[in-house]
Amino acid sequence: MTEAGLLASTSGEREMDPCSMVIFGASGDLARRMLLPALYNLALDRHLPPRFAITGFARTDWTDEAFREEARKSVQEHSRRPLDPAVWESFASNLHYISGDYADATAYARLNDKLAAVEAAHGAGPNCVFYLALPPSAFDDVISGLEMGPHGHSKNASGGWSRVIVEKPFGTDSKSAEELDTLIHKAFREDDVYRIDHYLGKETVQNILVFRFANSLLEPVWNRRYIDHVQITVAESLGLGTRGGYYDRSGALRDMVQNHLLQLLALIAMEPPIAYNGRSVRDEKVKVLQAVRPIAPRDVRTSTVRGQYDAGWVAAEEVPGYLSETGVRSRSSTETFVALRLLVDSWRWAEVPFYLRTGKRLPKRATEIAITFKTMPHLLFAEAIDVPHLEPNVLSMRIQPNEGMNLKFLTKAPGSPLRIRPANMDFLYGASFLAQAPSAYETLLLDAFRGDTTLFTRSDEVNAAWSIVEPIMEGWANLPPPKFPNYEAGTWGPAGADELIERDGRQWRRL
Amino acid sequence: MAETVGDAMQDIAVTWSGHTLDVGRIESELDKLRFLAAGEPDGGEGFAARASVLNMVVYAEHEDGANHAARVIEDLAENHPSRVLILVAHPSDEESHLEADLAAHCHLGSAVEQRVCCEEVTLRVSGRAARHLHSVPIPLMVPDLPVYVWWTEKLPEDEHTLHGLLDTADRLIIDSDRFEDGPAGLARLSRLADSESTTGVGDLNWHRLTPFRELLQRERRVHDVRHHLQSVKSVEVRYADGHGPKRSAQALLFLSWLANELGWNPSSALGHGQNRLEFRQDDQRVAAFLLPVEYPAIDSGAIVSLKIACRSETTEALISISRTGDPSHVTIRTEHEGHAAETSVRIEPPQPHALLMEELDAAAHDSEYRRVLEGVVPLEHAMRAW
Repeated sequence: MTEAGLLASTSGEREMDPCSMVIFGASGDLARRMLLPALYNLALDRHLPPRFAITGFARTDWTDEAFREEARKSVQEHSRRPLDPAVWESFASNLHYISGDYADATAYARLNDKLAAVEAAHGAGPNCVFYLALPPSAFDDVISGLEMGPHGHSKNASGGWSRVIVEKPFGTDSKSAEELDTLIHKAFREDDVYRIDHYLGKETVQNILVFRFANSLLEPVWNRRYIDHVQITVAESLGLGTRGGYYDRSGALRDMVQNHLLQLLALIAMEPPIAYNGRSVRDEKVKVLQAVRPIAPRDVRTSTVRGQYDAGWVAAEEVPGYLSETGVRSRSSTETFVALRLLVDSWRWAEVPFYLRTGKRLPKRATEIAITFKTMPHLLFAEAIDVPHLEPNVLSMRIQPNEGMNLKFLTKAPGSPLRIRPANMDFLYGASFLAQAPSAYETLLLDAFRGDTTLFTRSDEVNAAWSIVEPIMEGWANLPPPKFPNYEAGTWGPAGADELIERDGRQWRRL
Repeated sequence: MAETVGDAMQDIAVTWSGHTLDVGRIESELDKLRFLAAGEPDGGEGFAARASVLNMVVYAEHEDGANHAARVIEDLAENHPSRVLILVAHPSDEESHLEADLAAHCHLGSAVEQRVCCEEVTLRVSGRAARHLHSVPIPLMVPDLPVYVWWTEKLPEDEHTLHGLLDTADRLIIDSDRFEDGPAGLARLSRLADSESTTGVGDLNWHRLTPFRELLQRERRVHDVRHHLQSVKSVEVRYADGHGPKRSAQALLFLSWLANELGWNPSSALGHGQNRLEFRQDDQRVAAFLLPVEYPAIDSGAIVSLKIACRSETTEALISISRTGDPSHVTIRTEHEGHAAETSVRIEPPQPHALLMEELDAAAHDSEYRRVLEGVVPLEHAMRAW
C-alpha cells in the first residue's frame, strides 16, 4: 500500500537523512566564496536535511562565533540572493568551528568530540559528509586522521553513513590519481566518494542530458551520419587571480581539459543510459572516454596546439602577460591555451572530429558545445544563390554565460529575388525561466546529502580521462620547448589553433 | 527606465555607467528588456526566444553620429532583428571610462510572439580603452552571427582602430558621401578592401545610385536605344555641389560603374582640363565630365543629371536622366533617328534606413561594388591632373 497525503513525499524527491557536515579548509577561499553561500541558499530554500549542522575545521584560530561572523560576511558578499535576517539566524545557529593542524593527530580527537557534541545538540548524527576544501597535499593527513575516528568509514561506528567530497585536481597524472584513490579508499568506499567537477552541477550541463534524452527529434540525427563535427569551447577572459602558484604547476591541459572539457565531451557523446542514476550515467560516460582515441606521440604536433598569453586588452581593460602574473615562474613554459582534435572510436562517432579548445585571457568568457550538422547532399538553390555551398545547421549549447540553446538554420530572406540567409533561434534559459537557477555548488551539495552520485566523477572516469591526456603530456615533453608567449591577451589563441581546424576544412565558431 | 509604445514600435531603455565592461550585467539587463518587450515585466515561464540575424557594430566619434545611427537602426527590427553595439569613442580623453545605454527597439506584430527586436547597447568609451576599441564589442556579440561594422565617420588617418574592429567583421559598411575628398577617399577604401581579404566592403553611397542604375538598365525608353551605348562619345554627370570635385564620390562611382558596364578600360583614363576625363578604347575615345552644379534641393554630392551622347558612323543618340525642380522626380529623355521621347519617373529620396537595409540585404561580398571600387582607383589617379 502506498503512502498518501502528508505521509508521502510531495516532491517525489529522494528523502534526506539527518546529517552533519565537516568542512576541512573552512577558513579558505573555496569555503568563503562557494560553500557557505551555497549552504545558506539551500537553507533559504529549505533544502537542507531536516536535522543538520556544519562544523568548520581549519588552522585559523576561530571560535564558533568568529566562524559565524566570517560566514555571514561571505554570504553577504557572494550569495546569489540577499541575506534574510531570520533565515540567517537559524542557519548560523547550526555553524560550529574547531581549529587544528591537519598533521596533528590530537586535532582529530578534538574534532570527534566536537562532532559528537554538535550531533547531539542538533540531532544531526550519525551520518556525516566530509568536505575536503583543501589542496591534495593535505589529503594524506586528513584521511589518516579520519580513518582513526568514528566517522572515518563509509559505514561508520554509529551505524550511519559517511561520505567524502573531494575537489579537483584528481591527481596530476594517472599514477598520482591512482595513489589519491588508494589513499581515499583507506577510509571511504568508492560509492561514498563524491569527486566534484563543478561544471556538472551547472543547470545547462544537466540540461544536456534532458535535451538529448527527453526530446525524440534529436536521437535519430545524433550520430556520424548527420553530424559533421563537434566543437567544445571553454573560454575564459580572466587571468590567474590568486591561483598563479597552482596554475603554473598545472596548466590548461590538466586544469581544464582533463576534467571539464572531457566531461562535456562525455555527456555529448555518451549512449543513452538505462536509467538516470549514478551508476548508469557514469557507466556510459566511462565507455565514451575509453573510446576516445589517444593521440599518439607522432600526432601531437598535428592534433594539439598549446599557447601562452602575452599582454593585451580584454573587454576594454589592459592586462599583463602570463609571465608577469603573481606566482608564475619567470621563464615558465606552462600552457594557458590548449586546442585538441579528438576522435571517438565508436559506431556512433567514427571519424567525427571533436575539436576542444580552452584558454585564459581570451576575448570573452564563453563555454559552449556546438554540434555542426552535415550540409545537404544536393544544393537545390545553386543557381539562385550563386554560392558553392550553404552554411550548415548548428546546434549550440551555451553553458555560460547566457545559458541556453541556439539553433542556426537557413531561411529565405523576405522579398525577391531568392536570397538565403542564416537565422539564429536563440532559447535563453535565463530569459525563459526568470527564477534564478541554483548555483552548481548548491546542486552538488544537495545531491551529496541525498546520496545521489550521478553528477559526480567516478574513479574509473578520472582514470579514463588521464589516459587521454597523458599521451599529450608525454608528446609535448618530447618536443622542443614551445616559443611562448604566442598569443596576445584578448585574441582567440595562437595561430596554430586556427590551422589545426582549418587543415580539416573547418573553422572555429565565432563566439 | 522609460517605455514608449507607438503604433508599431516599442522602445524600452535603461542606462548605467562604470569603469569596466560588465558583460554579465549588460546581458542580464537585456534579458529584462526582452521580458518587458514580451509584456511580462516580472518574468514568466513562457518560451522567450530571441531571433537574431546579425551583429552590428557602429563606430561614431560624436554623440550626434551615434544618435543618428541609433535612429536609423530603430527601423531595422522588422527585417533585421539584431544585436547592435554602438561605440562612441573619445580616445583623446585622459581618463579611461565606460558608460552604457541599453535599449530594445521592437517591431510589434499582431501578437506578442510576432515581436522582433533590435537589442541596442551604446557604449561610450574614453581614454586608452578607446584606443583599443576592438576589445569592447567582442564580449557582447551574439555568437556565430555575421558581424557588420558600420563606420559612420570618414576614413581615419590612423587605421589601427578600424583594422582592429574589422578583425572580427564580415563586412564593413561606410558612406563615401562623408569623405571630404571623395576620389581620394574611394581610392583609399579600395586599398583597404584589398588588405581586408576576408571582409567585404559596402558603401551606402553606392545604394544612392540604385535608381539611376536601374533606370539605365530597365526603363523602357532607355531600353529601346540601349544598342547605341556601344558607341558612346561622351558622358556628362552633374552632381549637387558648390565646392568642386571633392564631393564627387557618388558621381565617380557612377562613372566607374558605367565604364565597367560598357567595357571601357579605366586604366586608360587620362585627365584633361577641368572636370574632364578621357577613356581610350582601341581607337575610340570617350569624354567623361564630372560637373558640380548648384542644386540646393538635394543633398550635396547627389547626382542631378546624366547625359550620354552616342555617335556611330551612321547614327547619333542621346540619353539623359535629369532631376526636375521636384527632386523626387526625374525626366528621362531619349533622342535617336530623329525621334525624341520623354517621360517622368518618380524616384524615392534615399532614406538612411533604406540604404542600410539595402546594404544588409546585399551579399556578403558584393562583387559588383568591388569591381566598381577597383575601377575608381585609376580614375582618381587621372583626376589628379585637373
